Amino acid sequence: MAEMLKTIEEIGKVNASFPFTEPARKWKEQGKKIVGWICINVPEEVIHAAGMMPFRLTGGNEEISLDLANEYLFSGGTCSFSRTILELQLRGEYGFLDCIAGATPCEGVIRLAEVGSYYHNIPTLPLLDTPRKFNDLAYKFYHGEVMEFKKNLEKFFGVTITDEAIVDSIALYNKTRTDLKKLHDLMKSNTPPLSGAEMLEVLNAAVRMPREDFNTLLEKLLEEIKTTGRSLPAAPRIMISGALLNTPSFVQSVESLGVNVVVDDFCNGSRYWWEQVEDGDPWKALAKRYLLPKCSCPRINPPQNRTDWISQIAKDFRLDGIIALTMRCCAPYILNLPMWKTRLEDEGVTVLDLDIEYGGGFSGQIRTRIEAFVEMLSLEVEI
Amino acid sequence: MKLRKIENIDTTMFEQGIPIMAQLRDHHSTTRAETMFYDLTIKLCDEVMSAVKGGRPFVTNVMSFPTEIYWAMDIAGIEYDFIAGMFSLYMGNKDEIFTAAKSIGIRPEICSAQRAPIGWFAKGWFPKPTAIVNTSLCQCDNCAQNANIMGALYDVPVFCITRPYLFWTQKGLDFMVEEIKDAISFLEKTTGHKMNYDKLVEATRLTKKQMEISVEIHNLIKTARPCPVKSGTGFLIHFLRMMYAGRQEGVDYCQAFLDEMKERVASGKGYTPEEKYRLVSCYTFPPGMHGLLDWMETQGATLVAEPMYHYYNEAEVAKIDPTKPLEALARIFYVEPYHGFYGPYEVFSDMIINDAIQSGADGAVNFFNTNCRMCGAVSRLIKDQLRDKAGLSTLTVDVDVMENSAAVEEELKKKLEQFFLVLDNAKRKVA
Ligand code: SF4
Ligand code: SF4
Repeated sequence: MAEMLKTIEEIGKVNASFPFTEPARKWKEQGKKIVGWICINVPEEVIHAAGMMPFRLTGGNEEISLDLANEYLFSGGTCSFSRTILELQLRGEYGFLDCIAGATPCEGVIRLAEVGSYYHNIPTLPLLDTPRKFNDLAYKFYHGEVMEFKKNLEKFFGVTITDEAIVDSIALYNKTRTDLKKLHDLMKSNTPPLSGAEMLEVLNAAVRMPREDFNTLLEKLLEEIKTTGRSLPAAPRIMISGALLNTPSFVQSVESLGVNVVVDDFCNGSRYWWEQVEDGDPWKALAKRYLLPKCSCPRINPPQNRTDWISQIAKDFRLDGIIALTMRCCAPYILNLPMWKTRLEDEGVTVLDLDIEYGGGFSGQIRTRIEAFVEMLSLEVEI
Repeated sequence: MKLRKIENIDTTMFEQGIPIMAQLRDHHSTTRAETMFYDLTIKLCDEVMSAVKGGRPFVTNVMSFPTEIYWAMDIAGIEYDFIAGMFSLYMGNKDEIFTAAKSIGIRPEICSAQRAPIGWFAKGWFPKPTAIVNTSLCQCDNCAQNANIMGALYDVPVFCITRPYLFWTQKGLDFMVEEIKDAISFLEKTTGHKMNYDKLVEATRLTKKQMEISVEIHNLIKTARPCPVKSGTGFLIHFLRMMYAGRQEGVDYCQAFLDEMKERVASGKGYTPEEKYRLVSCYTFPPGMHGLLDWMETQGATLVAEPMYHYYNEAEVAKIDPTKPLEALARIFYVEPYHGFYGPYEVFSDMIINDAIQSGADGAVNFFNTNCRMCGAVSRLIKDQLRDKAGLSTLTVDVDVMENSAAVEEELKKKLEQFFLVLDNAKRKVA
């Protein structure tokens, strides 16, 4: 068993205090504002450039009861991710947010915003209207949306976001992406330095603390990996795919069966950090980047880019298998999965298609099926 | 099973579905417009089959694709979700198609309306189209994505029109115009047929005419007592308008619908012998529940408002300019009340609340489609707002649009009976 990295311990502490994390608490104590954001189409840089801390709305480290949310968001058609957010909002656990910024990627989050804003008292900014495709028309349209978002933030908080500030914020966030890429490149090794569960801790913390501090931690982590030469034993290499997952304990349970989770396909994982904001007009570059042209989300049409991207990841990370976690009622994922599953299987990567609930534990059927999957991979793979 | 190209396409099932429309006409039509609805649906299916057999391009679409384009390009077309759903509802093969969809990974959480066509394609029962077109309707993920699966099953090209969330803005309108242009280019490329813009001008003129008649229908529904519209027919007029957008038959149908209403008003007769419960219907009354509707009539219950199908904005209809056909199509898309349901929630709720108030409804029913991510999610909100803004109680029931079993019908009757007691109590209190 590899020794625990000190930086990972530090990062773990940030997440342990979720939702009102210690760094967020300190930030508020300084009289500063926090803007909750939902969905990776919301450009965090704009919030940062306004002098506020962007904080991603997610669930915590474990599954929670959704009794309150189920009263307001019908569980038959709404994913448990949206209902988890609403539950936390209605319980007042997100009371430290000054406002919420959202987009329109799928019905789940649109209806969450529309329903939620009627029943909780956190102000919600107008949603960024996110096209379901990426072409010149969509970029142009989204550029308008990003500019609108800037105006809405300025008006709501009575601040001005300058071009200089946005350029600086982009540089800061690009630095995160660069370093997360470096970290993931290390995972391409046969004996990766981090477990998938540890990686998820890192990714969770990224959106729950001031970015400057996170970047410092990330640099420290890269340095610690270098100096300690930490590595995990070789094992079958898998990717976990899905809409999003925030529970490291789930990944840890998967890995305890004898695999390394070396990469993910989550919107809080690789889709979050994969693409840089390019140079040029910062606002246009943001619009383009936040439509995620390369590592597109399951909702984007046509689905070809996403299939190619997953296939490329499978090659780059030399995947033996993929666990596709299909969150119940996540229509974008359900309707996208068959589009790439066959191709990946044809390319020799086994895909396990599994139903889960957001934050759900590792028990019963899920455990049995993953165990069987891992056993099969272990027979196929010679380490 | 993997998502693989279907090698054997056999349209026997599709062809067997067509006469069922005639049976429905013969057994359930009690109005001229209803008879026309079934006849025109049959005509459309026949057009599709003769195109397929004769080698003429045939395109299939999800609900709400601007089908004026087909007419102006001389392409046969049909809406896959409507026709697959209708056929399976009455052919009794739901289990078979849903199992086929499940076998390629399409879970039951996807609403039956959009799983049905996937099942038809997975079985190889649907006629092979030249291309498939779909629309995001902005919010419905199922509509935005199921065409990809069907395209892969039949190995045919797919194009999706993305609709902005805030569609009433100039920006939203401009975006739609560009999307429609792209859709036309896609169809020109895949079908080899060129757009005839003169025909498109004429088609948008005819759709505008349909909408003007629909405005009249809406005004009459709101004001006439007793209600001159047969309950549940909003669904039919909506689909007919969509399938025959830009065609004279669509105008004739709307006119027949209106004329029958006017005749009722003139004779002072409604469809329900004694109107005891005037109800606003928030979503779609399950279309296969003919018996339930008949029973409701005997109880004095009438759907006096189906805003999702009738709520046309007169001022916006007036802005449609057929001489600018692309912009006209974008406006038509936005004016369609059904699409209000897919925009920001307030657009939808305003329609319902205004109709509820203006039609003097006693209560509301929200029979939303099981697993509908759109309507289910806001069902509690609608209920609360109808209570707060219109003082109305709402009966909320999730029921599958493809359900018509006697057991479910009985269950719904019981729920409605209880609801009528609630309404009686409310009336007593007011008195
Ligand atoms: S993408 Fe899926 S998981 Fe995410 S909000 Fe939408 S429906 Fe829910
Ligand atoms: S029933 Fe709901 S989920 Fe299904 S197509 Fe209609 S709006 Fe979409």
